[in-house]
Amino acid sequence: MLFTSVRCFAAPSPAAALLALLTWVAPGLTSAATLGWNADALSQSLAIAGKLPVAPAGVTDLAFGELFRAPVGPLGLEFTDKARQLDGQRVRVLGFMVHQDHVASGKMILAPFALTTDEAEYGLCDDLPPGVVSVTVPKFHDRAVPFTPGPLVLIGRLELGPSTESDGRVFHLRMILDNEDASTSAAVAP
Amino acid sequence: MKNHLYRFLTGSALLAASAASSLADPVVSRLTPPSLLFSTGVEGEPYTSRFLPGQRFDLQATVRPDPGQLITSATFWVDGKPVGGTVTLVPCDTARLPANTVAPTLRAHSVSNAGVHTLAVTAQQTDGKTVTASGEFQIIGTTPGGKKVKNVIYLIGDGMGIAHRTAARILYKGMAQGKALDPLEMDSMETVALFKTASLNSIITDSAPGAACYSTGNKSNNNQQGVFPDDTLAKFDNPRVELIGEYLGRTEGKALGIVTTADVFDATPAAFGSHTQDRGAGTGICDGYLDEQVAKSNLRVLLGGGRKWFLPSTTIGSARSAATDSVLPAELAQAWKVNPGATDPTRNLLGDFQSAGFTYAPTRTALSSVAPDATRLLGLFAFSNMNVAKDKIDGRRGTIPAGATHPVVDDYGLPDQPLLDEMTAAALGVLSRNKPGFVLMVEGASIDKQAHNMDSERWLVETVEFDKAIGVAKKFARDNPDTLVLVTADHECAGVNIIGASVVTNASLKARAAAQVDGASATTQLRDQVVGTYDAANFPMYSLANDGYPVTTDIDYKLLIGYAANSDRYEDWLTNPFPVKDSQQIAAAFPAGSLYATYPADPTKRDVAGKFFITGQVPGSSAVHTGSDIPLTASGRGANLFRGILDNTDVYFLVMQSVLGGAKDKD
Repeated sequence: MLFTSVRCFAAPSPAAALLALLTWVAPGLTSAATLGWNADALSQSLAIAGKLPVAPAGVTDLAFGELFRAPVGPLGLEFTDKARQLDGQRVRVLGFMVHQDHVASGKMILAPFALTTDEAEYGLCDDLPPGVVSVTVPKFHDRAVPFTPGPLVLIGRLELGPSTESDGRVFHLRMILDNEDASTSAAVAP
Repeated sequence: MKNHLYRFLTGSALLAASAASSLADPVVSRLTPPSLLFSTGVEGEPYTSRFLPGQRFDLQATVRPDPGQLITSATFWVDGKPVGGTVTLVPCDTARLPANTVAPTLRAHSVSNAGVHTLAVTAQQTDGKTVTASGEFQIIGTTPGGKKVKNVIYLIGDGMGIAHRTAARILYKGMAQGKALDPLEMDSMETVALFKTASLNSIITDSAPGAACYSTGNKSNNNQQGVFPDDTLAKFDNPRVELIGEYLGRTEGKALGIVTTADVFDATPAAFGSHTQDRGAGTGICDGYLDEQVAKSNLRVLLGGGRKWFLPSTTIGSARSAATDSVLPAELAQAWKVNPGATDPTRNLLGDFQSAGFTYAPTRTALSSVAPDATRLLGLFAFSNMNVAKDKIDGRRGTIPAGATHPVVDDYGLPDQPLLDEMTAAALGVLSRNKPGFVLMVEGASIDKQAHNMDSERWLVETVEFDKAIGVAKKFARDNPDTLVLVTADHECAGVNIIGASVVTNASLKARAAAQVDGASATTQLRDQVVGTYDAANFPMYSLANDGYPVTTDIDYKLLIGYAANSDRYEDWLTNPFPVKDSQQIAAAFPAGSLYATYPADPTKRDVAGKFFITGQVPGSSAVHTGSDIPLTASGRGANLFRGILDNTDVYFLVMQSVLGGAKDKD
């Protein structure tokens, strides 16, 4: 069993929310054998099964597959209209935390499937896909965000456009998670 | 006798020399171009470094002074005469070298008279002590006679050994009663030779030196192309060797074309257009195509994947970075008269190519409508490696893998990619407008990449695609008889061979792959009862669709492939519906409705249900290159020069003989 639960990093209490979801997601539903490490497929299945609560007011669900136009044009990737409209808005995204060797305080990377980077070996040439999201986790502003395997549901404000993070990577998607005072716990309560 | 001496010396003398060096500092620990004379003290053949008359190459030595001393000057000597020009003392910064070690460097030297030449370096340190070391190199002249070759087409099936060819022939052309029903295009060529493939530092080469030898005539260390090794960490400052495109562009006005199904920064294409010790430095390599090769090699065609290097880092999908960029040392740029470049991840290289007059084709459709008078062509059909032929063909046919909603190419967001024969035809159309002729390199890249993955059907169909590109080149040579066509590889990949054929139907194979039957071991179910050897293999017979590719690669009683250089894998013999994940792709940006996220990460993550596990003989998660000789077949003018069992660096000199000296059409 590669993973058995959906976990959530949303405030006010990430740990509590994580544990809450651990208790209500049926392990069989999210087994690797049925869904694999595919965030969007998992999100869809949970929604269909009624296992993913409706996003709270003011929060829009956004899937990785909704980020870029396909097929690709003659140059680079382009955001979809939906993604552009959500720039600066609060969104909910289900994904996987990238397992990094070196992490900056208060930062993590969310990806559409499980990924591991090895900065010591490859520097920044580790080929993270362009759809990954740089996530700021206010609660961990002074320390590393602990690696949390398995799917995560994050709620925060979306920002689009290129920006270079402290490690030198250029990200085109960022999320700033709600801070502890935000009232998002209902979104993940069982 | 000399052979024994080499064995002894290479095994022990270097260590002895190293131990003795502490008594005789300063010390020359490297002399470039490399030679056995310098390394072992033994003169004579084989000569490690060989050049054409007038071909440019850098002279360099690594010199470490006594403690507390500095190297103050150095002089290079060829045949006992001092070499004119500026000698720059380049600081060495690799690990394990003492402080103040430097590399006296003299750039862009050349020698015009054929024969063996001695090379010496003399260096002096601050207290006046000097050191001298000697080596040698050979200049290979050309002999006038016969007719000169105007156009050279290298077709490199990356990783394509003898068995890749044989297997593709069985699948593509068919075989009955012991006879191939038709030859491959690469079979029906005039001459054949075998080539040894070792690199400068290993019996097992990678693609960088494996291909660069065709471009430079010389060996390189693994990961290096267009250069000799040095003792600095900088990726683009190594001692250079002039490339075939640069030499023939300078002396003959020929144009250069590079066509690949890989990312254009990949080792084989870059071996024809870059000088670096790091085959992974994609930003710098691709910048160099425009900044150096357009001027120096008359680069006129560049087709393949790799768009991510050409987009500013601010564009989504770009991979440009400072870490993979290049800035040439001023002394190098000045001596070779090239643009030193800049660290510029935000550069719009694609726009710069267009400003330089290149027509840009992002798709097959655009490629097919390039203006007939175009003289410069850039095609970037994928962000990294292009999809393999099987997946491109499935995309054109609309074939959707079981459980998916669309073809594999749609998962990559790039459904309209050309096949290699279409790219080759477009390249020849442009290059043939250069009156002095051209050098074109065409690479079937994923023969190697899919052999690494032990994805038999994917490299098989890739080889079929490659053979069709050979057909295009041969037709051009028939229409333009002053053209030489060479089909070869850079090395063998994966220890591929044909082990037999399945003795069960495809339906039976599917059932065996889906689950283990109670009481039967996986070995019994998927090996003992499936793999037919000798007589039981018979002759697997595939049929072709109208598009010229197999209707299916999952026929009853199908061809079975084994791997001698295999990593761990599960095997069920069925065509894998999805390729192994390629981390360099952007496909992960398109998970909606796609199954990309569940593509197998490596060969131990697929074919698992049948539980037939094959233990690898090599570590890691993919099969590896092997050290066996590789075949070369040749046709057109000059083909009769390519016979026997030769060194891979010989290819370059035989090509140059045909271009500069000429060749008889017949023996």
